[in-house]
Amino acid sequence: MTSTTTTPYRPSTAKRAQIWLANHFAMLSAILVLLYLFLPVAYTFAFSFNDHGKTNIVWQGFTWEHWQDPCGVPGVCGSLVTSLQVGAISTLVATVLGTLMALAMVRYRFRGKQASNVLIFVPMATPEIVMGAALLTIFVQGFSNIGLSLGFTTIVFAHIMFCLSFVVVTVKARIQSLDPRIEEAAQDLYASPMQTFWKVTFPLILPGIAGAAMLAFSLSFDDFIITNFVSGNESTFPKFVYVASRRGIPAEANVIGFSMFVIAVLLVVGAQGVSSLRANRLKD
Amino acid sequence: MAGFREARGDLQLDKVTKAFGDFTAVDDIDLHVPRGSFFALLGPSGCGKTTTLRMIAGLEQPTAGRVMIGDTDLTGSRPYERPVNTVFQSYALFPHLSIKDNVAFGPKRRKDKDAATRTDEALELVQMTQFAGRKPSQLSGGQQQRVALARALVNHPEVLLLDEPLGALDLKLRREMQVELKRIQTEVGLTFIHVTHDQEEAMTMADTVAVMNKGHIEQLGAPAALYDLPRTRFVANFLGQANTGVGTIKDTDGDHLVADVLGTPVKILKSRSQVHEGEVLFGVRPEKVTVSRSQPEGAGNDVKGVVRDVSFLGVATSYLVDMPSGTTWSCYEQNLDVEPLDLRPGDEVWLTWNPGHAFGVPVDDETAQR
Amino acid sequence: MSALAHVAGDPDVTPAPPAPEATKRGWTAYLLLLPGALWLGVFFVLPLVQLAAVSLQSRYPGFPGYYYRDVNFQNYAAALTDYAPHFARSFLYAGLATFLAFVVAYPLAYAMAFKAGKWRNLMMICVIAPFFTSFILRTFAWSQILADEGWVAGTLNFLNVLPGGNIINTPLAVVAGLTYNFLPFMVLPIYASLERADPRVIEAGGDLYANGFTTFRTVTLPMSMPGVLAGTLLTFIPAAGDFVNMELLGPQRGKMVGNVINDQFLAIPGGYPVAAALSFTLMAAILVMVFLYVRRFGTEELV
Repeated sequence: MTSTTTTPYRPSTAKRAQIWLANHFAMLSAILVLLYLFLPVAYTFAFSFNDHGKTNIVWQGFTWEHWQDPCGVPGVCGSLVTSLQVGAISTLVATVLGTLMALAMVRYRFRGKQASNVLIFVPMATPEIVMGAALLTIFVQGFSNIGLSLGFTTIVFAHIMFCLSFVVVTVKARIQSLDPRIEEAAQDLYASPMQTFWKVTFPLILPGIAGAAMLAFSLSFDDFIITNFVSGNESTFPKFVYVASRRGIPAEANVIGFSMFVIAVLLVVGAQGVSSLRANRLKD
Repeated sequence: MAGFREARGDLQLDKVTKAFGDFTAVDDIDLHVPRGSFFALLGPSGCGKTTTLRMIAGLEQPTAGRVMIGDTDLTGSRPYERPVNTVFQSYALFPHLSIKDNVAFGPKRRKDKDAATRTDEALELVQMTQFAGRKPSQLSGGQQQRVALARALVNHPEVLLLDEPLGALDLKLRREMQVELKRIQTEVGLTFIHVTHDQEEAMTMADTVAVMNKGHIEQLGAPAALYDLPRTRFVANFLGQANTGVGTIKDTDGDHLVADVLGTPVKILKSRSQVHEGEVLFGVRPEKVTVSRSQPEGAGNDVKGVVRDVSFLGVATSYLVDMPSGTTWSCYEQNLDVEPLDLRPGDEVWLTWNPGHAFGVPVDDETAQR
Repeated sequence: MSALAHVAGDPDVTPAPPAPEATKRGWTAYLLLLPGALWLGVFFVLPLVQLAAVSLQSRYPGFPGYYYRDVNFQNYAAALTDYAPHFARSFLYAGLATFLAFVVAYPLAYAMAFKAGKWRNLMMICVIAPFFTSFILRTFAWSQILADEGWVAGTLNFLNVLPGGNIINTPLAVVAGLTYNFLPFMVLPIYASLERADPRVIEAGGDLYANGFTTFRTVTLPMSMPGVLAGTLLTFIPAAGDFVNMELLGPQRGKMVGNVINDQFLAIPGGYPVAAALSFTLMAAILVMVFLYVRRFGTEELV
C-alpha cells in the first residue's frame, strides 16, 4: 500500500536461514529422532537379504533365499506361532479383566479403592526381571506341586498378569474422559443399567479398549525377560532370537521380524484410514 | 417395560431432604407443581436446585421425603422407571449415535411400535428434520440444544426437566430459544420444570417461579408477584434490582408503618411489610423512584441525595444517586418530558416514591426462615 | 476480550459444568474388580511373597538346587557386598539412558504435539511401529551398527574421538542400547501431556517473555512435567532391570545386576536364594526411588 516509498525489510540470506532453522528446529530434530528409531529396523530388513554363512553379522551378498522359505530354519516358525497364540490369549483375557477393573475404579466408590490402586500400579513399577524371578520361584517351588509345570500355560498366565495393569490404565483414561451425564441421560431415557452399558458406555469406551488390547498384544508379543524365566522348554519368537543370537541369528528371523513390523503398520494405517473415511462420509 | 410406572397428575415434593455427608443440599422442601405448568427453580449455584431436579428425575434418591406424580409415589424408583425426562446441562447427547438415533433412543427402549413416526414428529417440532443423519459433534450448540429437547419430548413425559438448558448458548440464541421453549411448552402442554440461575430467563418463561437459597425455597409465586413483593432480603436482591435501606419502625399512620431511617421518616404499606416492629429493611424498585431537582409536593417518601452518575439509555435515563445512609440507589426515568432534567454528577436531587410501591422485609433472612 | 466473550456467553469460554463424582456404591464394584485383582494376587503378590521366602532360604550343602526354609539374612549380606558394583552400574547406566532418552525424546514429542499438524498420526505410528520388530532383533542390529567394522565406529575412529577405539562391548554401547530401547516410553507420555496443554498458553508465554528458551523453561516444560515424570519412570525402571542390552552389546566383565539375577536363577545351580535377595533389593531400591521421586516432583495423576 505504501510500499512505493519504503522498500520492504529484506533480511540477509544468513539471517533468513537462521529464522527458517529456528522455525523448523523441532520438526527437523523430530525427523532425525525418527530416523534413529528406524535405523535398526532398516538393518534388520537389509540383513534379511544377506547371503550369510554361519553368522549374519557382516554383509556377504544378496539373496532372496530367506524370503522364499522363512520357515526354513528349525524352530523359527514354531516359536512365532507360539508367540502369536500367547499374545492372542493373553490380550483377550487381560483386556476383559482390565476393562472390568477400570470400570470399577472410575465409576464406583468403595472401601479398598486406594489399595486397589496400589495393586494396579506396583506391577508397572516393578522391573520385569523381578516379576520373572518371582514367578519362577512360585512355579517351581509352589505350583509345580499342583501339576503346573513351566511351559505354554505359565507363559500365558505371566503375560496376562503384566498386561493387566497397562490395560486398566489405558481404559481408565478413556472412561474418565466420558461425561457421566451421558450415561445418566440413557437411564433417564428408560435404559436399564445393562442396556445403558451395552448401548452407550461400551460403544463409547471401545476405542480405549481397542487401544489397550493393541498395547497388551505388543507387550506380550515382544516380551522376553519374563518369558525367559517361565517358559521352560517352550520357545517364543523373542526367546528363539535371543538363544540364536549366541551362535548367529538366521536371516529367516529377520524376515519374520520385519514382516511383523510391516503387517502391524499396515493394520494401524488401515484402521486409521477406515475411521477417517467414515468421518468424511458422515460430513456429507 | 418392567418396573415402568405410569403416572398422571401434579408433581408433588413432600418434605424432601437430600444430604451428602454433612452437607444438606436440599432441606425439607415442599413443592406442588400443577400439571401443564411452566415452573422455574431459580437460585444461585449451589442452592440445591439441580439436586432437587435430580431427585425428581430419579438420578438422586432423597434422604427423606417423597416424590409423587398424581397419586403415584415415585420415591425409590430408578430413573428409567419414571415418566420423567431431562434436558441435561451441556445436553449429554450420545456422541456415537446419529441425531435420529439419539431421539429414537427413548421410544426404542420402551419398545414403542411407533418409534420411527414419533421420532420424525419430534424432530419436526424442533425443526431439526434435515439434520437427522448427522452426529452430535457436527451440530452447533443451538442445534444440539434442540436435539436434546426433542430426545426428551419424544417420550411425552408427564414432567420434563430442564437443567440450565440455555446456559451454554450465546445471548442472542438464548433469547430465541426462550421464545421457542415457551412455544413448545404451550403446544405440547406438558409440565416443564426449568432450573436456572438467570432471573431474567425464569421471569420471561415461567408461570411460577420458586426462588431457592441454601437448600430452602425462599419464595414461590408468579414472576410479577415475586418482583413486586419479595418476602425476603435474598429474593429482593436476587430477582431484579432493589434500592434498600434499613430503618426502625417507630409508629403507624393509618395503613402505613413509619420507619425512622437516620432521622428521616419512611412510610411502608402495612400489608406490604413482613415485619411490623423493630428493624426493617425497606426496598423500592428503580423504576418506581422519581428523580427531581426540588422537593415535590405530596404524601410520598422523599430523600435528598447526590447524583453520582447519569447514563442515557434511549428509552430511559439511569441515575446512580448517593444516599445520606452511604448506599447508592439506582433510578430509571423514562424519557417522557420535552425538557430533559439535565442532571450532572454532583447535583443535589430529591428521590420520591409512592409508599404503596415500597416493600418491607426482615433485615436478617435467617430470622425470617424460622 | 475473553472477559467480553464471557459476558456474551461465548460457548468456548463458558466453563463446562463440573462432572459429578463417582457416586455409585455397592457390591458391583467388588464383582468387577475381583477377577483382575485375584489374578494380580495369585500371579504378582503371591510370587513376590514366595520370592521373599526364597531370599531367606539356605542351601543343602552338597546338593546344588535344593534349599530348605530358613531365615538366612546372609543372602542379603552377600547380595549387597558381592554385587554392590553391579547395582551401582545398573543405576548409573539406567540413569544415563533415562537422561539421554529425555533429551532425544523431548523435541520429538514437542514437534508431534505442536508442529506436526496433519502428520501427527503418521509420526505417532512411526514411534510405535519399531516395537513390532522384536526388540532383541533391534538390539542385535545395534550390535551390527556399532561393530568395529561398522560405519559408526569407523567414523568416530577417523575423527579420533573414540578412546579405546571401539564402541561395541563397552558400557557406552550398553547405555546407547538402553536409550534406544526405551525411547518410546519417554516420547509417548511427554507427547500426551503436551497435547493436553493449550498452545495458546505457550503463545502467551512467547508474548510475555519473547524469548524461546525462557518460554520453554517457564511455560512449556512445567506444563509437560506430568509426562516427563511418567516417561522417566517408564524408562528408568525397565532399564535398571534389563540384562539383554548388556548381554548383546556390553563387555564380558562388569555386568549389571539384571545379568547376575538371570544367571543365578537360570544358569548357575544353587543360585536361587542370593538371586532372590538381589531381586528383592532391586525392587525395594527402585520403589524407594520412585516414591522419593514422585514426592519431590509428583502429581496425583500418576496412579
